[in-house]
Amino acid sequence: MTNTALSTYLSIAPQSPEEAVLRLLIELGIQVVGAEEGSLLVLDELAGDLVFAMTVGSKTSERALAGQRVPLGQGITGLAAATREVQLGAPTFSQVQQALERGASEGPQSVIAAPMVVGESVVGVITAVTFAQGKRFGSREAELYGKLAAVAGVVVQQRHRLNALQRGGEETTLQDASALPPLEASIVSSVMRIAEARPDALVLVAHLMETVEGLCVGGAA
Amino acid sequence: MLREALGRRIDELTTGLGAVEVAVIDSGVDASHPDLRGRVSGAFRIDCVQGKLRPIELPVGDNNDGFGHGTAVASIVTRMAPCARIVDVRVLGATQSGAGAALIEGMRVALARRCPVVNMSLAATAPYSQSLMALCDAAYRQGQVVVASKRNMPLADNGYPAEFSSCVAVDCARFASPYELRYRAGVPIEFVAHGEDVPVAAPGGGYTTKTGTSFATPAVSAMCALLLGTFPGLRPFEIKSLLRDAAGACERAAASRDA
Repeated sequence: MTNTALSTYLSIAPQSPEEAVLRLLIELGIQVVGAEEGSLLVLDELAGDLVFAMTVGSKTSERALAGQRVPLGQGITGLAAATREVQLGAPTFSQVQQALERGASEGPQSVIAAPMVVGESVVGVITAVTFAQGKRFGSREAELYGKLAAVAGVVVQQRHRLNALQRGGEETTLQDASALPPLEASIVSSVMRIAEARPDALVLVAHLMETVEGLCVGGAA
Repeated sequence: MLREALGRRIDELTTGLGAVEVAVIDSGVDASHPDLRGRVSGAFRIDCVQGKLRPIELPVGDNNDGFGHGTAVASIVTRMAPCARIVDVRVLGATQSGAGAALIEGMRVALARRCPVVNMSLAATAPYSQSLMALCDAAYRQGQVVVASKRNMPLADNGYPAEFSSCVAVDCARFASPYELRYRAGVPIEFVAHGEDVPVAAPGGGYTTKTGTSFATPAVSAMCALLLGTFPGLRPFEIKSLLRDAAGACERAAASRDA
């Protein structure tokens, strides 16, 4: 499943140069910020989920997380995608003093979630995680990881452009969609990504749009 | 009134304060959290109704936060400003996906309610900037102070509305006190406040720490609420002048500590 999600949602094939670059970016990121693990989650717009597509740093986590879904409206990865902003997470305690003194807790001690943005759209999130007791990432690490996410976004965008060129048509890109008014741009870019990643789902999308149109007309009448 | 306010330490404005509504346009607020119980005076959710984004008024006192971001922001405001009453305007969530359009509707709610302080620890993208600028200008004319955060990782812009001159724009740094402030001349993001490892309320009753410009911004909103709670007639440009004055005092104090 690890690379299936990358290929399904970002049109990045297993063992392709783009996949290698994304892996290198996360490896570099976790080394620089001092994290033990890093992951790449891709956005499944139809399901409204983020899907773990790649995990670096721990084989156990890679096996456990690959293909796992995180609903968009939840957690630090969902927040990073919703705000298009780098977000930092820390454990929750029952007392404010424990939070301040970085009391002992199980699981991740600090998490960075940085959105991968292509044009006006978020296509995924990269994360860095540390389990070292009391360690907290700061804004410097967050900024660095955010920059790596921006580069990862460019890698995805270049893959999309190359796909469009290989199809022989005009180089229709997500940037063209961003010239439209916000709502139309959002619809066009979503449909374009679905067309690239899940051509099989286009019939369903068309059906849904027709249904919604029918509902709106019915409602207006 | 400006003359009366000048030279007063903001963190010492603790008595005789009138209640000041602070709109928190964010992911919602857990009003059932012990730190926020009784401190939320209004709650709204921006949702799609018959194909259009509209504000839906919610009962006050419930947990309306999907992410914890808004709860964290609101808890900073209420801890620092005892006079602050939160108006929770939820624009982020599973269905809103952080769309700039929802943020604009949220801003409209804050304008209609005439909340004296509006906290925006969020940034919209460039396509929404013109609509947002018009709303921030309208807020300025109504005497509302819009406090907005810089993007944590700016690429093409610092984030909107933080770039607008009608707003108080905030970056973050690590300071010893949450009331510590710095002023930067000649740049759009003019103020720097404490935003590293800030203790905050988490939905469900717990506590965590947060880092980023999102959590420096409510510190400045709280300072605005303290000023307005003490001197209710202050206009937004006077508030900016007083914040600049406070930042100057903080810098001088820091310089004398270092000397």
